[in-house]
Order: sequence, then C-alpha cells, then structure tokens
Amino acid sequence: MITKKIAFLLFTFLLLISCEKDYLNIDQISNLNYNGNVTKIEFLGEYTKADAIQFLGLVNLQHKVETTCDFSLYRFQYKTHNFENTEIIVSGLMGIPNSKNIKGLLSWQHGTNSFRGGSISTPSPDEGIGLASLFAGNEYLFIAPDYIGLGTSYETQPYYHTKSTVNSVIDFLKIGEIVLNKLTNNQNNKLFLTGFSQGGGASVATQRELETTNPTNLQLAGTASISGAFNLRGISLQHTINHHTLNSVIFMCLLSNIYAQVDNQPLASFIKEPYASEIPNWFDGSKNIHFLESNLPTKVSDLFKNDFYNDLDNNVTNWFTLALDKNEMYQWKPVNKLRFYYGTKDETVIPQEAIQAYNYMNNLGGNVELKPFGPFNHDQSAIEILPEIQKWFNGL
Amino acid sequence: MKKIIVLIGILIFTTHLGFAQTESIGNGTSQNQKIGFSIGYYGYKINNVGLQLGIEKYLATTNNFQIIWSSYFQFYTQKEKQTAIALNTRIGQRYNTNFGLILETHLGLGIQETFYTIKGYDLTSNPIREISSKINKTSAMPNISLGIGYDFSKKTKLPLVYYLRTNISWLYPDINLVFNTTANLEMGVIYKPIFKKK
Repeated sequence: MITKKIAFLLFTFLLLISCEKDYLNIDQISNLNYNGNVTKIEFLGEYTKADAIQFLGLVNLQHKVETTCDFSLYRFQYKTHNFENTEIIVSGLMGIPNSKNIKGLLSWQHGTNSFRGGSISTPSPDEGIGLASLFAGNEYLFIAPDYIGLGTSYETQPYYHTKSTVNSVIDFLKIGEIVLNKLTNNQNNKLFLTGFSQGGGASVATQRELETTNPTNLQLAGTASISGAFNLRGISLQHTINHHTLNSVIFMCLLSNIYAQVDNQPLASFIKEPYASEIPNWFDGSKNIHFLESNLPTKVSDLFKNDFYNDLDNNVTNWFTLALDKNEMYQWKPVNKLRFYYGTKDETVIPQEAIQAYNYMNNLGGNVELKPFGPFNHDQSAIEILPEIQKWFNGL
Repeated sequence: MKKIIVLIGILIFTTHLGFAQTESIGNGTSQNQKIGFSIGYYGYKINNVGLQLGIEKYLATTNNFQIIWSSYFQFYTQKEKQTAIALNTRIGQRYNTNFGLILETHLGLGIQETFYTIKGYDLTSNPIREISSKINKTSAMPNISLGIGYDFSKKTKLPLVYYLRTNISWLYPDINLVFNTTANLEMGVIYKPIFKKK
C-alpha cells in the first residue's frame, strides 16, 4: 500500500517537473536567424498562469477572459527606419507563451505616451505585463513595439507620422514571424493586430501597409482598433483645438514636435514661448505626466501663436494641415477583417473618428465592422473592450 | 555556504539523537515532543533545486493535532535566471492519524532576497555575445503550504516524519515591481526528539 502511495507521489512529482518547461529559452531565441535585423535581446521575467489570472483580476475586467499558460517576457532591440529613411535601432516587448499550441502572432500598438519610463518594453502591470497576461497567457506570441522615440530609442517620437510608425511595427512583425515559425514549426502564420488610441490608428495603418506590400508571410486574421483616430485634419484637429484639456495640448505638442522636424519648420514660428524652446526637451521621453501637467497650458490656444491657431481653427490649408492630411489612416478599402471598437462617451478621441472611418471604408466595400461598446470614456474603453477582442481573436 | 548549512543541519540532528525515545509512540501524538528539526529539498517551481532547513516548535498538542510554529531558511537556484535566500516563518497545524499518515497546513510570511540574472545577447557581434547583468531585490513572501507525510515513530522506533508539501508563494515586489506567484515543492524529513520525563 505504502509502495503504491510513494509510486503515485513520484509519478505526480515527475509530471509536475515535465510541466515546467520553457518551449523557447533566450539561448534558442538569440540563435535564430534574424538576417541582422535584431541587435539585442534581453530576458525580462517570467510569469505563471496564476500570475496572469491575478493581474487581470486586479484590473477588474467586467468580462470573462481566458488565461491558459505561463509566459516569458523579452525586450528586443531591432532595426527600423525613421522619417528620413535612416536606419535606427528601436525596441519592443515580446511575450512568449509556454505552450505548444500557439494561436498566432499578435501585435499590440500602444496609445499615446510621452514618458520613456512608461514604455511598453519596461513591463508594468498596467500595460506590458497586463497585456502579455491577456494574450501571451492565452497562447498568442505577443509583441508590442515601443515605436521610435520610446524604449531604448532616443529619436524624436514620430507621433502620428504614419510611415515611420508603421515601419517600426512591421519590422517587429518580421522578427515575430521568425520566432513564430520556430515555435510552430512553420505550421501557423496567423497575425492579429490590435491597439488603443494612437495604437488603434497605427494598427489600421499597419493593416493598410500589409495589404498593399506585405513584406512578411503572415496572414492577417483580423485587426481590432480601439478608440483610434484616423482623420487627423477633419476630426482630430478640430476636436482637439477646442477641447481644453491637458491631453489635447499634449497631442498638439507631440504632433508639432515631429511635423515641424519633418517639414523643417522652426517651432518658434508657430508656437509661443517658452513652449517653442521647451517642447523638444519636454517630449524627449524624460518628463512624466505630472511634470507636463505642471508646465503645460490646458488650452491649445495658449500653445500656438494667434495667427496659426486661427488658421487651424478655420481649417486653412498650411504645411501643418497638409501633414495631417498626409498621415490619415482611413481612406482605403480593407480586405481582411477590421473592427472599430470605441466607447460612446469618449471625449478624448470622439466616436466620430471610428464612425467616419467605418462609413468611408464600408462605402468602398471594405471588410469592416463598427463596434460601439458602451458608455465608456477613453481610458475605460480599452479595459472594457479587451476581453471582447480576446474572444473575437480566439474565434478567428 | 551550502556546506556550512548542511553541516549545521547534521550537527543539530546528531546532537539531539541521543534524546530520542527508543520506543514507538503508538496511538495519539506524543506530548513529549516540543521541537523538531527539519531538512529537505525546496523545489522552486517544483524542479529548480533548493534546500530548506527548519525548526519547528509545537505550541499545542492534542490527541491527534499539533499547532506548529516553524521557521525555515530556504535557498534555491534557477539556472541562469535567479538565486534566492529566504527566511520564512509559519504557523500551521498537523493532523496525525493513528497509523502514521499526517496531513498539514501552514500559513507563512517570509522575506526573500533574490539575485536576478538579466541574461541577454548582443547580436551585433559575431559570434553573438552574452551580456548578462545582475540585480538583487528584497521582497515579502506570504505563502501557504499543504502537505502530507508519514510519521515513522508510530510504527517504528524512528523519531522521524517524512513530509511532502506543495507551497504557493506570492513574492512582492519582483524584478518588474509586480508580484510573482509560484508553486513550489517541499520534501524532507523532520527529526522530532522526544525528551525523557524527569
């Protein structure tokens, strides 16, 4: 009898040992052939399925989510190209599930962030770890680019500069594809794109690029854009300049900082002092939201010089509004599934953004769906909508 | 360091062996057992090798139950990822059946010093170059343990208890300043000297 018990205990012990296994460790990941596009890989930590359940429980999600496996986190540094088409190094987070049944590659595009300490590749429970719990903890190979200017990159952040943002996403997708092929023995090439706010737009722009010139062998299964802005001149600008909040001012500072650089316009030619002198320093990733709150005005009219502000308010065409036009993300026809999710009480990125983009694409016969999710504001909408996105992706 | 710990364990074990009762206890729990000394395997996430040394103090003993205060020194290493030492204090209860099987639960609070290795690779060099750095972090570690075991003194003259416990620990903060939940394995023996009545 005792022998049987001991045998049972030993069997259980061996079973448990066999369960705790890295399907791909850092040595194996680092020895994959990235064609010279990856410069550095760092191990950032590992979390169990139990951790994932608790992280997601703490967020107080209103809808059921699935967590099915442990996962490990890595920071990748890789090559991409900035707006001048110069090769630069950027970073991103990768969450690798400890599972044999990988559902595909999922790329998360983050929302507006001007503080390097909050970069997604510096994993926090609010974003990097939370999202990895939701997706890597549910057997998706999870990647999240920091974009240019955050993480380990010290370039000017190309905020809503669509081409360079998409570059940094697609270059990370290519790396994700190599890891995915290794994990699945080339048996799964499904791609899922999702993102919030700025990242909602970046996800849609990435889908457009993939459907135009897909430089990967990934097959896009679906894109879920949460509270994204797509019509920068027609909707975003007009809403922002009359919406007196810190978020509006930060939005305009980030846009001004990069568009002025791209179009060789001195900041002092259209922004009031001291902001014209300080914006490059305040938006280099070193200042957190509390600093910006203390130092920035809450009215866009206090940021821009009067003539320039009046031109924007009257939708006069100038280099800035042309740049906004150039970086739109909605004037195309999606072939693969694209869903626009938004909170109906969102006053930061108003629902009209999703509604107009949907109408435009739908009129072209695009594969789009509009998903108003409920009376949520901007920040609430991501938390409320993410479980629905996991459920949708799991069904694709 | 490991050798010193093992030596201390052996010393404690042999010093008290002389006090051991030479008869089996039979039914019920011995009222003469006041303390126990433990040595065993500590498996971080089950299979990452570690050691634990402990002392148990029996606060109250009834016919089949013991209320136990215990304190453990724990050490483990997870290859290329982390090494840790911890001091873990627990309060628990142990149910002793008359045929030797024991069932136990413990609630603990520990402090752990974890020495993390941030392993990475520089892929710009050929061949690729390992670039590792180290960070240590002090963390609180609440934990619970459930265990079974066998008390050899019920049927034999050995004053030993074999135990096998599953332990769930919440470590906070971890390297990313969040908590880390781990399921661990504890397996070892407790030597319970039975002091002779004067």
